[in-house]
Order: sequence, then C-alpha cells, then structure tokens
Amino acid sequence: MTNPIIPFTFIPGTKAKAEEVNQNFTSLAEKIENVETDSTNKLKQATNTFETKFEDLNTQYSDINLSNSGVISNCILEAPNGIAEYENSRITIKSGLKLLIPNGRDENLKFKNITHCLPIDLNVSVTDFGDSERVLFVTNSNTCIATLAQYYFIQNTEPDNPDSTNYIWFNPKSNTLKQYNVATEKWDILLATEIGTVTSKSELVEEIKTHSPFSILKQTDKKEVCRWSMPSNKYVDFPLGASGSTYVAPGNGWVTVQLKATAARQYMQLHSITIPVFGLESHSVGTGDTVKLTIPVRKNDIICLNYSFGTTGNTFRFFYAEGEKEE
Amino acid sequence: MFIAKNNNLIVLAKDTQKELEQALQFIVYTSVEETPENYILYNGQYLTKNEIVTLKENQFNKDFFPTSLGYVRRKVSMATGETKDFLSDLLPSISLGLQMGQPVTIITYNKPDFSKDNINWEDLQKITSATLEFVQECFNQLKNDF
Repeated sequence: MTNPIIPFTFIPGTKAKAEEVNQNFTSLAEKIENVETDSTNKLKQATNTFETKFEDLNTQYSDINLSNSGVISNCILEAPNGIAEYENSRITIKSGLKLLIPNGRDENLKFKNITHCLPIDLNVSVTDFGDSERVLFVTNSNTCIATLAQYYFIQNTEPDNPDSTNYIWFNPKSNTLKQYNVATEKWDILLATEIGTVTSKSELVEEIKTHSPFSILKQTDKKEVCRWSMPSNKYVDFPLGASGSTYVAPGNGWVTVQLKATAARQYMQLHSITIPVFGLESHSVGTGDTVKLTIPVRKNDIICLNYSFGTTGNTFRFFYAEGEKEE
Repeated sequence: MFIAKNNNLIVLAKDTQKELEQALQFIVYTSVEETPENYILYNGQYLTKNEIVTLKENQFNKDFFPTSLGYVRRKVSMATGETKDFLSDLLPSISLGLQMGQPVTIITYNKPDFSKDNINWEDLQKITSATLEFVQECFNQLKNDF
C-alpha cells in the first residue's frame, strides 16, 4: 500500500530504517504546513469579500446622509444656510436646503423619496395671507405653497369634504403628499416637503416656526418621545358654548374643562365624538363645588361638552401636546 | 345679538358678529343669525330672560311646596351635613312634638324674585313656629304627591 503523502511503507517483520521513518514525518509536517497556509489565505480572502459586499450594501441603503435608506421621508436633510428668515412681509427660504420629498413606497414598503436641493433663495410675500397661520411647503420645482393650517391633514384616511386647493393631505401609510384639485374633484400628488409654519397679521410676518433637520431617534430617547404626548404649557381657550356643543381639536393634545356648580346634583360630561369610548363625567355634591375633567384628543377630533353647571368661574382649554409645541 | 346654531341648538351667542366669528374658531356650527332677542347662557342653555324666569320658577315649584306659613323646602340640609326629606323624615317628629304641646320651630321661605340674577336664600328665610294647621297642610301635600 502506497500513499503519495507518506513516501515509505513498512512491512511487518522487516526492520525500518531511521532515515526513511524521519522522511515520512518530514513529508507529513510539510503537508500540514501547506494546509494551514492555504486555509489562512482562503479565510482572508473570504473576509475581504464579505467586507467589500457589506460596504456596498451600506452605501446602497444608507448613503452618507440616509437619503436613500428607505426609512425616512418628508423631512429636511440639511440646511447649511439655515431654513428660513423673515423681514416685514417677506419670507426668504434659504438656498442649499436639502429636502427628502415623499414619493410613495417601494415593493418592500420602504419609503421612496426625491432628494431635492433648493438652488436659490426663495422669496414669499405674506401680503395676501390675511391674519392666519399657514403651513409652508417647498416643491421640487422650487416654489413655495402656504396653506391654511386647519386645511393640512396628516392621516391615513382621506379628509372629509375638501372644497378648495388649500386642502393638503399627507398620508404616512402610502408616503404621499396630495393637494385637492377642485376641477377634477380628485387629489393630485404634490411633490413637496413641509418645512414649518408662518403666522401673519396685518400683512406682516408675526412668527415663523421651522422644522429642524432630520436627526435619528435612539433607544435612549424613548423617555423624550413619551413626554411628547403629555400636555405642554401652550394652550388656547375654548369659548364655553351651550351644553351639547361640539368643538374641533386644533392639534394633538388635551382638553380640560372646569366648571363651578350653582346647585347640587349638576352634571358635566366631556367626551370624544370621534372616539366615543373616550370620555368622563361627574356631578356636583353641593353649591360651589368645582369639577374638572380632562381627556386626550388628536388633531381634528370632535369633542362634546354636556353640562348643567353655572357658567361663572369656568375654564375650558385645549393644551397642545409637548410634541405639537414648536421649540 | 348674533347667535351661532348647530342645526337647531344655539351653541354660542355674542353681542357683535365679529366677536361671534372669533369665538367660533373651534366650535362646530351650521349657521349664524342676527336676532333681536337677548340670549343668556344659563346652566348650559342659551335662554331669554323670560325663559330663565320660567325655568327658575318651575325649579322652585319642584324644590318647595306652599303652606300658610310660607314655602317649605322639600330637601333640607341638616347641620350634620346630611340631607333629609321634609315630608317623610321630619314631618312625623314635628307632628308628634305639637301633639305633646312642645313648641316646634321651622324654617319657611318667601317666594323669590326670579328676575334677579342671584337669589339670596338667607334673606328669604322665615323662622317661625309650626302650627297644627301647618302640619295638616303638609300631610295634604304628602297625599297630593302620591
């Protein structure tokens, strides 16, 4: 029996020469060394291939500014010259503003975007805006749309009864921004990104609140995210209408009502019409009792207040959630 | 005066149209009208002065019953904080006291002026001695209630 690795074969009953035995061991040692070198080389080669492919994937999905990651959309990516500034009745949206414009989802449901960089400063006059709060959008054709804040909807379902081009709807589920077309009575795709809001009064800009460029949320931010749903110190007073009146929430937040009883057994009930199971009710035990009720609401939710209390010393307020309050 | 309605319910009333329009920002309404009536928000309802007077009077007639000594409050708040029904809880004791020849003091009320915004019930109180005739009137009232 011969083996190419072992040069000498010994037959039982014959004497083995030390030289031949040593040669067999030398041959084996050389073979083991060759196998070791070969394995190391192959492992290095595999590692290099893996690293190259990983980098390719990383580049493909993450890019340097996450613009094609498919996990973010409808935001400002970069603002090297700032976002917007104003003077008197003119707003200037700054050049260099890099936007991720929502453009649907791909077959894996990842966000599709158009990355757009504003090449020049964009000037907008508020002289026709009246006394209003408007949401500002920058389009991929370098124009600005300013729609009344109450006509901008962020929701997965189509807004009810649209009747003007002021109606703009961002659908997070489909990642599309749409504007109502009065002539066709349909929603047209709008390639634009929301950059903030402007408040104007007497043909002058009163305040601009812009969104900050995109930043990634981390696991350690969860407490902060939790806080965003809590009531802030920013509020608007609701006028106290008759019992049974319904009110529209101007944002995401909390509605609170406090009434003072003018007799015993007066009742108060605050509930959401949009989510009927959300509501509270209470009654007075005696004259002068103060009863307070508070419920959370989402933007454009309809809420109803029923009561038989007196109307002096009342407080009826909507508190914006922390996340709704611009920094 | 200008009023906003949601279908038939008056939801808000203000002296001027501008005031009303500003206040309507968050309220659901279907129409705005000008009216010669002066509406006041009273216990959750927009009512005219006359309607409020009627409402107060109706409530008074539910809470009190008339006797020759004055109006008697049906639900009496005791010094202990508990509420007692005059006819079922207190009348038997008053009747027994009078039959035993003991003086019994009661509180009755004069009829208020319902056109006033605030009624001071203490000013309307009369502290008086119960009579057998009064007790009989109370028993008659109890019979009428049933």
